[in-house]
Amino acid sequence: MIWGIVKIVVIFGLVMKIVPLLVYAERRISARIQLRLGPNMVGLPRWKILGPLGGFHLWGLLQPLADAMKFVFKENFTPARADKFLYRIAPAMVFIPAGLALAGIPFYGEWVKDVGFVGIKPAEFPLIGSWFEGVPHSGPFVIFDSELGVLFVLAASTLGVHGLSIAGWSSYNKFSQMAGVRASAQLISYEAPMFMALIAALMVAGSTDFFSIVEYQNQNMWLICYQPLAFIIFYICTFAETNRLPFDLPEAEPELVGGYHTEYGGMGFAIFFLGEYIAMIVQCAILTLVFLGGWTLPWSETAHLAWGGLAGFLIFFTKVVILLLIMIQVRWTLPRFRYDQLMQLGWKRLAPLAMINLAATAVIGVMMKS
Amino acid sequence: MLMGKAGVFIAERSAQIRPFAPLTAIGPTDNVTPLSGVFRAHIMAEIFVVSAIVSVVGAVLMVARRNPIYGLIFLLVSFSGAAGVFYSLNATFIAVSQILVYAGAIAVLFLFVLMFIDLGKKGEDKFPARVDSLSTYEPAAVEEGKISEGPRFQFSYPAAVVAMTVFALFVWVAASLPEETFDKFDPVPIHGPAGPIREDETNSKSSPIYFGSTAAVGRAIFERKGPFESFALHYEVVGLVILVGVMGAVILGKRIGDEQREEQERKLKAAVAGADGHDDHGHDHGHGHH
Repeated sequence: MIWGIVKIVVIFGLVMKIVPLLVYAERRISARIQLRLGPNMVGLPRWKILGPLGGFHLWGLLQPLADAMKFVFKENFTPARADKFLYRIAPAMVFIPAGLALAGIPFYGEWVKDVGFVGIKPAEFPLIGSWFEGVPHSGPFVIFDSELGVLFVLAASTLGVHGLSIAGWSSYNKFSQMAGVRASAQLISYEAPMFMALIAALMVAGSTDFFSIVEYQNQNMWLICYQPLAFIIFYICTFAETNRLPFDLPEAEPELVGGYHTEYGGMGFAIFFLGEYIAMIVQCAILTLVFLGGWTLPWSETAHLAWGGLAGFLIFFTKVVILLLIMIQVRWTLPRFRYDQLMQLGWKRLAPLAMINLAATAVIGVMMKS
Repeated sequence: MLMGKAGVFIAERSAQIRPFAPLTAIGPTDNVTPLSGVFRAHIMAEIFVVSAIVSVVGAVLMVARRNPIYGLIFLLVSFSGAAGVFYSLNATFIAVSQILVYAGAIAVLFLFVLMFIDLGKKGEDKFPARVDSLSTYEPAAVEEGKISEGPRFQFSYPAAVVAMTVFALFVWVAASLPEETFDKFDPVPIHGPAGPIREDETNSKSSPIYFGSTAAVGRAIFERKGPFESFALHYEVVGLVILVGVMGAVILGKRIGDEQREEQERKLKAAVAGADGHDDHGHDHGHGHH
C-alpha cells in the first residue's frame, strides 16, 4: 500500500517535472531551427541576497515557471452559449486518460525486502540504513502492474479523444467544432494501423507484458531489428495520435484559430497542453519498451543492473528523450498535411502496410515454429 | 559486482508472466503467487460492487438524458463500469477489450456523428423531452421538427411484463447460485489432464495460466492441440458476420444516397429546364415541370 502511494507520487511528480522542461526544449529547439533565440531571458531575479547570481538568465530555464504563473492567474473564460458542464470537464477528459496510461508504464527498478534498491544495500549506509530494515517488497516500479501491460496503456490513452471532441463541441464555436470532428476521425483512423503494427511486434515477443517484452529483447535483439516496418508505422501513428505536426489538423492554427482549445484560456488550456505532452511521453515510452529494448543495451545483458538499477532507469529515460526530441525536430521541419492526404496516408498506405506486415509476421512465425 | 542477488532475481522474474500482479506477494526465492485469501477477495469484491453500480447507473442515465452528447458520456461511464466488473472477475483481457474496442473505438464513431448536432440557442428545445417509446415513434414528426411536442412517454404493458419477467429471471438465477460463489474472486488456474496448465510446460514451477487471462483467451481461440478447445471456426464466423453487417450498411447507405442524389438531380434539371423555358417567369413556374 505504502509503495503504491510512493510510486504514484514519484512517477507522476517526475513526469510533471519533465513536461515543463519539454516545453522549454521545444521552444528553444524551434527557435534554433528558425534562426531565432527563443526564451533565454527568464532567470533568477535581481535580488541582493543571491549575490553574483542575481539577475543571471539561467538560459531561460525559468520560462516554464513564468508560463505556469500566467496560466494560474489568467481568467477562465466560458463562452455564453457553451455547454458549461462539458466545457469545464473536457480538459480533464484529456488529462485523466493520459495520466492513467502513465500508470501502466514501467520505470525500471524495485526495492527488494532486506536486499535494498536493486543492488544498493541499505546496510551500507550506517546512518539511515536502519530505517529501511524490513521495508516490504516494492514490486517493479510501475503503478498498475498487470500482465496486460501495453494493452492497458493503449486502452487508457485511446480514451483521450473524447475530451478533444467534447471540448470542440461544447465550446459552441464553429472552429472548435470542426476541430472536434477532425480529432475523432483522425484518431480513430490512425488507431487501426497503430494497433496492427503493434500486434506484429507483440507476436514476435510472445507477450503483452512489458517486462516479458523487454526480457525477450534482452536475450535476443531489439524488436526494431525484427519489425522495422512496424516501428516506423507505430512512430508515424504516434504523431497523429498526439496531434503533433505534420498531423496537427485538430489544432491547425491557420485554419481553425486554435482548434478545439480556441475558447480555452488559463488552466483549461494548460491542462490540454499537459495532457498532450504526457501522451507524447507515454507513446514514446511504449515505443522504447516495445521496439527499442526498454532499459537494456544491445551489447550487454546486465548493463541495466549497474549502479543499483539506476543505469536501467537512465538508459530507458535517455531513449524516451531521444524519441521526444525527434518528435520536436519533425514538428518544426515538416509542413502540415491536408485533411484528405491525412486520411489517404492512414487508410490507403499505413493500414494496408501494417496488415501485410502482420500477415507476413504470422506466416513466418508459423513456418519457424514447425 | 553490484548485480547481486536482486539483479538475478529481476532477470528471473522478468521472464515470467505475472497475472494480477498488483496484488501479488513476491519473495526473492518464491515464484509469483497470486495473493489469495481474504484481502484480495475483499478488494476484488469492492471493485465488483462499485463497478456494477457505476455500470447500471451509467446505463440508466444514458437512456434518460435528453442531450445525446450526455448520453454518450454516460455510455462511456457504463462501459468503464462493465470493464471494472470484468476485471474484478479476473477476465482481464475482456476488461481491456471493453475499453479498447467499445469506449475507445465504437463510442468515438458515435461521437463523430454527434459532433454534427447543433447545440441550439439557450433554452431552445432541440431534443425530445423524454425518450419516446418505439411504438409512438413517428418519422414525420422528426422531419417536421415536432418530436419534442409528440407523445412524451407511453406506458406499454407488454413491455413492462417482459422487462419484469427478465428481471425476475436474473434475480432467480442469482439467488439460486451457491453462496460461496459470491466470495470467489481468486483467479482460477485452468486444469488439463495432468494438473494446471503452465506457461512453460517443461517447467513445473512456472506460472499457471489463469482463466480469463490474455494467454488463456488467445489459446482458447487459436490452439487446436492440447487441453484447450479451439474456437477458431466460431471466431472466423463471427468475423464474417460483422463483415456482412458492415457491407450491408455500406450498400444501404449507398442506395439511399443514390436515390437522394437522383432526386436532387431531377429537381435541378427541372429547375434549369424551367428557367430555360420561361426566362422571365422562371421563378413562378419552375417547380411545375417534370
